[in-house]
Parts: sequence; C-alpha cells; structure tokens
Amino acid sequence: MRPPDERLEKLEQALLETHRARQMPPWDPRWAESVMHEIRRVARRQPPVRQNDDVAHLVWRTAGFAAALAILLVVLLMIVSPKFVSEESGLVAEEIHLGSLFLE
Amino acid sequence: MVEHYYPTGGMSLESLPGDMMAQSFRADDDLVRRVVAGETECFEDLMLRHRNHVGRIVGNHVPHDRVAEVAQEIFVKAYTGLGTYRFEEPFPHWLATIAVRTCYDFWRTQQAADLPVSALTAEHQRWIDQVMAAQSDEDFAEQARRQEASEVLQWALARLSPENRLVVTLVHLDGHSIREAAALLGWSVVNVKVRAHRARQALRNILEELETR
Repeated sequence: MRPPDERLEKLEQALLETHRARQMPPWDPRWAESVMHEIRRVARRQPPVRQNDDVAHLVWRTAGFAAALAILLVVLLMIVSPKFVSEESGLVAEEIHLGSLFLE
Repeated sequence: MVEHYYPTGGMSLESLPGDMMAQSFRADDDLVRRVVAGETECFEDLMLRHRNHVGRIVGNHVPHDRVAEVAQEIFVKAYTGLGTYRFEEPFPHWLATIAVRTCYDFWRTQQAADLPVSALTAEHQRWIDQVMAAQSDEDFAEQARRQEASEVLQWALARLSPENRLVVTLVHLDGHSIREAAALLGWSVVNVKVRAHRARQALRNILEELETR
C-alpha cells in the first residue's frame, strides 16, 4: 500500500494525462456555414467599427488640459481675491448661526 | 509543455520558422483590416484559419458536446469586437483571450452541480484501483485514456467554482504560466497566483475524498 500523498499524486498525474489525451471532436461540415449565417445577421445590425486612437488621445488630452485650467483658475481666484473667499465663508457661517436660532 | 495552435497545420508556434510565423500573422491582420472595412465574407477565411486553435481551447474547458456552440459564440464576439483589435499582439493571442473568457462565462451561467461521491459508479472506483496498481508507464497511459478517467476528471472539475475550475485547467492541466493565465483572463498576476494555489488544494481535497471512500 502506497502512502496517501503518493497515491493522491498518482491519481492527479493520471487525470493530467487524461486531460492531455483529449481529442478535439471533428467539426460538423455545416458549422462554418452556421457561424457565417450568424455573422451576416450581426453585420447587418452592428458592423465592427474601427476605434480611432487619435480621437481617443485628443479627448483625453483635452480633458486633462481643461482640468488643469480649472485648478489654475481657482488658485488664481484665491490669490487675487482672498477677501472675496473669506467674505463668502463669513456669510455662510452667519446663515448657519441664524438657522440655529430659529431651531431653538 | 504549453500548446499554441495556429493555422499552420497543427504545428506549435515554437516550432515554426520566424518568417513563416510573421507571414501568418500578417495574413491575419490583412484579413482583419478587410473585414473592418466592410468585407464581411473575409471573416470566413479568418474563422477557418483559427477554428482549430479556438476548438482546442474550448475543448479543454467545456464538454465536447458544447464545443461547437461555444466556439460559435467566440467567433461572433470576435467579429463584433474586431474594431478593438490593436494589431500590437498576434491575432491568435487576442482570439485566445476571448475564447478563455467565454469559457469562463459558460461555467458561470451553468447551474452549480450537486455531485456527491456516490454519483460515481463502481466502474469509476475500479478505474482508480487500476490506476493505483499500474506498474509500467504504458499501463498508466492506457488507464489515463479510458472513458472512466475522463468522467472522473469532469466530475472533480464540476465540483470546483467556475473561477477555480478555470485556473486549474489553465495552470495545472494546460500548463500555462501564471503570467500567461493572468493575461488570458485579464486578472492580476497576484490574483491568479493565489487562486491557482487555492484551486489546486480544493481539487486535491476532492480527489482525496474520492480516493479514500
């Protein structure tokens, strides 16, 4: 009697051989015809469309540029008018304070 | 040994002369360009060049009586996705990723089989005993080619989850490297590595249960 690990390995090895010995079944002569029938049906509805890499690159570059520009504008706004920012936040704080009075 | 089948009369990719391989890939790319340009009928040439390649992949993953149906699904997916083929990798590699992922989808849509050990017959048990008793390599190889062997393998694989089944088949049975399997599946290398280890352990547990019953 072999030790359990050795027996298990032998069984595994046999199944591996089984997998490798698998033979592909022959193709039905009408198989290719049936696939092409389906392809023609799909082609009428949804032909393959070449995806243009140049357009995709342009879209991503434009998006990146727009995001950088937006960040730049916000930074400039904060530098040029810090008072405007603090006034805005002051007004919001005041509204919150008044709101709490009504709740009381 | 990993098998790569291309439209070269069944020769493996590694055994092909470089110029013959490059010529074959160029011919594929020309056909792809023509199909995308609207020559739908050229797809038939492309399909006939690669159906054995696809058939072997599918035959390794799904039951033989479902190979034709799954292969058809793969070629329809390849046709509709042809616009995304980038010509940066050989067409058979691109097709192989579609084939493997379609096989995965096949098992995900199947009902999980409830297969107790008792589902196997006395014939299967006798086969296990004969494998264990095989003395020579010839005897062992003969046992491995028997119908019972194939049924026991299918029974064991059917008890794995679709993910584990796919990884076990690709890595342990087909002999793909972890990196190759990850590329075929579109999963990370780490994910495939971890799963390959766990899946093999799961398969060993199933075989152990079978062997000790």
